[in-house]
Amino acid sequence: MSTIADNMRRIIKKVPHTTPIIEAAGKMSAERVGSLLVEKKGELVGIVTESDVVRKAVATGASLGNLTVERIMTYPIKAIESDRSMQDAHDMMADLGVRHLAVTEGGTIVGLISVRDLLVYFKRVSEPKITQD
Amino acid sequence: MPTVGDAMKREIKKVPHTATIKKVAAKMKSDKVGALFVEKKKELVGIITETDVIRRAVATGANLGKVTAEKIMSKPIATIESYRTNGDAHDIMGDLGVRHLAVTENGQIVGIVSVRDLLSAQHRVSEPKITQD
Repeated sequence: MSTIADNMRRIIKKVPHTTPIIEAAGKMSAERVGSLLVEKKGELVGIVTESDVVRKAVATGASLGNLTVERIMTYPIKAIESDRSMQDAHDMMADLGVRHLAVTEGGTIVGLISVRDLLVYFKRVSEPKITQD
Repeated sequence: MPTVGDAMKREIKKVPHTATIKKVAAKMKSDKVGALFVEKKKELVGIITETDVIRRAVATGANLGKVTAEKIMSKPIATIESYRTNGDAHDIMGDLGVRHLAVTENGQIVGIVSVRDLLSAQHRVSEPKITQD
């Protein structure tokens, strides 16, 4: 069975915890991602997503030049070990209602897996079978 | 073969074209959605997503109480007919780099399908097969 390790993105995009929301949004835009990990004192302490920015900052009318990512990030980070199946990743995202999971190896974060990575994977798996229907 | 009609949400959540980004964000929050249709003179003229809000409003430092949905929405609306397959929907999303498509029946928008809807549908189809691996 295919594991998360085979399908994940082995790259950590992050911002310091003191980053203002506007800057974090600028980084999401430039890097074309929907989430960023948040680092504090050399540790990854949370994840800030497009939904966090829209729902916890923009919707509330907060001042986005002053508000920092630490204030609106989602924590603790939802993580899954890289040797688990894609199935497990899907179940966990559905249960938690999130679009991104951090991927860990021996408890250390080594990358990220998104709902789109899952879709690409499941489509590949089921396509040859579906066409037999 | 599973069609978009099976995976979609048959409802149209929308905001007026004059809604401010702050209002749009508040509705995304209360409705727990990542995209809303934009209506102008009784017609759906665009779609506004979390990504639009982040990249075209927050990241650019726009005044979120002033800028309107019409200014940053994505248009024309990317659509797919409900009888098409989920695989087609996925391909279009991949090609356009979007997470949501408006679903049409005889050209009329009747709902929306998201990457998460496709994943849930795809997953239901492939689950019993994957476990045989």
